[in-house]
Amino acid sequence: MKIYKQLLRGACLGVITFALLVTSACWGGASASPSHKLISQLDNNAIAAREAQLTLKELVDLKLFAQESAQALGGKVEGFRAANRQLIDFADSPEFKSVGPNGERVITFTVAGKIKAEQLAEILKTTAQAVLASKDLFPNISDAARAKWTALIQAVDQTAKLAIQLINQLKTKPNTPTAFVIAPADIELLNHAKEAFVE
Amino acid sequence: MNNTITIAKQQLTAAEGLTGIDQLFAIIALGQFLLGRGFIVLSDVQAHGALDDQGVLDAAKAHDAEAAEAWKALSNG
Repeated sequence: MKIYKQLLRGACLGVITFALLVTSACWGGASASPSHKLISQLDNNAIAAREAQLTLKELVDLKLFAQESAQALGGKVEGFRAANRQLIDFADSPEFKSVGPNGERVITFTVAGKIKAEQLAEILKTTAQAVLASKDLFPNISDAARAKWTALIQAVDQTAKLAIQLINQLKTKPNTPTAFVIAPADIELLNHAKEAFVE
Repeated sequence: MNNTITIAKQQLTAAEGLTGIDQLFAIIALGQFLLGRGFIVLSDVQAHGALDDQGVLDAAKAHDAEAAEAWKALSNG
């Protein structure tokens, strides 16, 4: 009986670790475009939040984890999910996806939109750090997986800085001082900045 | 391997509070749940390769809604 119990314990934890590694390590495939990798990461974040909440609920139902502790940790995951949802909506907005007649990407990054992007990047980083700091939440997460999450947080910060630098260097469109037109060559630079999300 | 054993000990220390068949059933139920979730996660992540950008965005919104529902269930006890 003792051996079976140990096997079951190993299997349980193996699956948890595997699921976390999958959701934290897969950024959408090596051949995917930068934008595809970016939104794939947003989807991975949503999947990871869902799995964290479902696992916490199951642990409570099985009386393996206290309700109060689960709700406290779940609240932090919920903050991460909410910030991630804002980024999903932002990525799905016309501003993010608009393409001009000559192939240029016309990002109508209004001043408000630019501030929003900076704020969202900061919110996501802060909430992700709060989740990571809760070692009780994922006591089983490997050091390698934790390092990947930490690298992602740093990449988010770096990407936000690169994007802001790029936007600041772009000329504003005549008569529309709050909009930016990004030429195809500059799109490459922006895509390079986005790569920081996935490396 | 050592890490897995350490993890197993930490994660399921709470199960020590249960005894006998209750403990075994709890561990089996958790194992089944996690195994099922593992396959779902794999299939969700693999779907990225077959979807276009809009498809992934739509999937992300659906997964986000599921996460919000799961939090609602957890927060309501």
